[in-house]
Amino acid sequence: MSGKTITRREFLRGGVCALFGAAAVSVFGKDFLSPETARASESASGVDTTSFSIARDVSKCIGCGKCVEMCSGRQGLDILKLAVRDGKPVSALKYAETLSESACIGCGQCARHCPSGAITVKDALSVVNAALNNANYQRVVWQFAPSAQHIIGEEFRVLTGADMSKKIASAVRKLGPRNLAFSTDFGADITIMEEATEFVNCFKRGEKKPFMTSCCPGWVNYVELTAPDMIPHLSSCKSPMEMLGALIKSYLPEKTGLSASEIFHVAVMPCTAKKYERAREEMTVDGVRAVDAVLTVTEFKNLLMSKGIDLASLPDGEYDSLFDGTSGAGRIFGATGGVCEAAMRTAYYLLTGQEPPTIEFTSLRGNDGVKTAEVTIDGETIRACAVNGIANVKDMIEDIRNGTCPYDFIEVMACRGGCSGGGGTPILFGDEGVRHRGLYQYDASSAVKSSHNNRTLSEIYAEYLSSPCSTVAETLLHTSYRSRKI
Amino acid sequence: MRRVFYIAALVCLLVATLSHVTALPVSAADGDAVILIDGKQASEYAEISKGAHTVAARSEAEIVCVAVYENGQFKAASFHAPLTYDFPDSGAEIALFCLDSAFRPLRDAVRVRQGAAFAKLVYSGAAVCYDLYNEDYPDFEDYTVRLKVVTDNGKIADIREIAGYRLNTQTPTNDVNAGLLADAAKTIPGVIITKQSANIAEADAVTGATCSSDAIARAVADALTHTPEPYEESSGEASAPIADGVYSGSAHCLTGYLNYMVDVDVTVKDGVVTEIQDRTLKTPMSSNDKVLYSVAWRSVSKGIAKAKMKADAFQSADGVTGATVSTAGINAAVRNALKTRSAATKESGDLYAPEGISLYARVYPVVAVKNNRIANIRIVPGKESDTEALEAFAGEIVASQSVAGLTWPDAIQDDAFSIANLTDQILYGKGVLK
Repeated sequence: MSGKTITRREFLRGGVCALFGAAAVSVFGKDFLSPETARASESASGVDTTSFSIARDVSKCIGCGKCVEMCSGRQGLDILKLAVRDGKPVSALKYAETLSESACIGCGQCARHCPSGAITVKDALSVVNAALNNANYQRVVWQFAPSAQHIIGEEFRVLTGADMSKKIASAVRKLGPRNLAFSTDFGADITIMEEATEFVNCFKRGEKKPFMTSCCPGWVNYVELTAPDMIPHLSSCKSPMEMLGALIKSYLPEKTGLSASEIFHVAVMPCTAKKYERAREEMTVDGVRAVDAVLTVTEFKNLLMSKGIDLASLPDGEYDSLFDGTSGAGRIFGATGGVCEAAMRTAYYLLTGQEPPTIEFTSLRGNDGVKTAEVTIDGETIRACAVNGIANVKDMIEDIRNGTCPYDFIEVMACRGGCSGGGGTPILFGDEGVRHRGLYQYDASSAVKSSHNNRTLSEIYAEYLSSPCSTVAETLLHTSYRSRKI
Repeated sequence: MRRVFYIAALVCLLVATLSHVTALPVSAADGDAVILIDGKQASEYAEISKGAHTVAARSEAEIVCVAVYENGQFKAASFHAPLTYDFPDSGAEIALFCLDSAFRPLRDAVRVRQGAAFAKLVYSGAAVCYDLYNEDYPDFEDYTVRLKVVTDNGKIADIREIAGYRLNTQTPTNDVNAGLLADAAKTIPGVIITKQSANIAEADAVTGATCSSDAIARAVADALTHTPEPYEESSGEASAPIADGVYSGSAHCLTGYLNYMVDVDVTVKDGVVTEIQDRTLKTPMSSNDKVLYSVAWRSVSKGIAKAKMKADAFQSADGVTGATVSTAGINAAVRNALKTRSAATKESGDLYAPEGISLYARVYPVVAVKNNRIANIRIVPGKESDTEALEAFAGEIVASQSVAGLTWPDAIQDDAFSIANLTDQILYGKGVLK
């Protein structure tokens, strides 16, 4: 894109502004334009930075109500409301003074749709830039969420849903020789091995019915803040990002002879709630944080643009080989119903020792609120269900409390469309299906379709983790939850 | 240091001639434009429409322009600025403007004389209206004024078909500009005809529409430099009165935040506009605009039903203060319907527009789908988007029934990508695009 030429009008306008600035300094003194004064007035106007995911600056609110439409409308969370201040509508918290005191799950949909910058995603770019320039880090390791690899193209004039993983790998090479790139697909494969094993064990013993996934940090936040009685149903598995992060801070140092503190680990996610998940006390390996920074897709785009990297025009590259051989099942984690589908493929294998007759569970695909599938093994039926959007989970929770929930396995994604509609992605003007299309196309064309067929992962299990849900795996890959009910 | 600006010549044919004319003495009192042709004062010179001549002019900004003028056409030019003159980036533009204004009376005279052989001639001309100070009108954008000048026995007899267009397009300019131009067009043609010169004084310009007034004058000057066409009685004459029927038209509401499209069906009975009906599509509107639009619609439709305005002379119906943009959009849609006189047809098929609860795209498509195929794509443009090029691009999508494998044209690549990607996003979920 060519640089914008300055028109005569802009030239004059610029001159007028500069003149005004100069006049203001001469009339009001230097303080008028000094950053200290600006910062003081900001805090006076009440910027709420207590959340790990988003920041609110009410002074910038134009009262359009889009955040309320998302929060109380589509997401059904009821955290934000429209209040009236000085006779004008303004976005406000409904039951709390600050975000940290509210039941906000950090899904980031409000920030995604805010047109005026009154609600913004908390920026981690400065941390990442500092790490890129910090010679103490021997390696800067990047991982890219399944959906992020299909969404980032939109920012570089590539049609929605196209697989950009090969371009992303080249882009990371361009950031410097210390950088390593992995796909979170691998973390998703580990998650399926752990989660499916845990589910199969519970299913056999009749425990944790229904068994609920814990991949979505927005959903985990919702359980801890609003429905802590669901904690016994939650899988103890960490999310794919944290699982791969745990290996990056334990297995990778062992392989390369570095110490975990010499590795800086950035995760590029479609999600803002991941920024909270990263900071949880449990998400450490031997006292070292598993993920050092979480960038949203939009932030990663900003990073590339600031370095002058045009993703679309880069040559194809490959991810690093330590965590490769990823499956299509790992990739479809980016779509609602994907975790459920991937888990069913492997659960069938774990229960019967055979591949399932049909690998594609099409009834779990699409953008409906609740989608179901049934898998029959030796006369026993596993009833699986995918809940799309946190607003649809309320009825499900009521059913569980009443004991009328028929499902054995429930996947919950807080945002509509799953990760593909996450709070850290650009706005979409239709059905999230257009992003799912790319994920399922990748799955259909991939050689490995199930997580248990990921050969690199099998080797790592044999060499390092022994087996799914073993003691080593429990320490590294599983976590616990506590009630934070407000 | 001597500041000498050589502007890339308009047509660099006679560069060699330039080297000796740069030494031409050009002197005049401050503030007067003086033109020398081959070293003589322009007023002493009878005929420059034949042969090659060197011409020098000194503008009010003390910029000296030296040009080669061959058979009535500029061939090459250079510009000299005084030492103290600090050129802004757009110096070239200003210098060209200076040259243009310096030559205006001269060309005026020459061209009118040329046309004297014919009884009546029609000249077409254009000029760009640049407004330097438009803080009062945030919607103002530079636009082109096009008009026709009718001369009768070498005298300016009429100035007609004055219309504003977006720069470099045939698309009408926005309603604010059109209003300003209409204001100017009420008086300026009369002034020019009385004076028999396109050199209007500052005092003649219409207050509040200074730039548009000036643009009309410059367009007249421009017209007179072009080859005229013979006058035909029918040109510019009103055609048959508007027959009874229902006509449809559309207009864009450029709110500057979230643009949308207004569609109306206009019923004409006995030559009078009796009723308008809203066909405004499922284009996304901000919640604010929805309210403003519905208020404006109620008021305008009531006003039209009451006023019983003649269809031929429909200008606008009164709207509501505070809903200016919506009112202007509805009025423009009615005007367009009556102007194009296209019979109202229900747009075939289902219509889809981006349905995100907020839309920040500069441009977006409204797609008509029939029998699971894309029947039509309409472009709702942003403030400075090239609608014609985008419509051509949308035509490619309709022809191929797919957005895959398209390339984004260089000049409009961002907008073209938006159109393709948004079409993909809104149609994929409907099963139209795979």
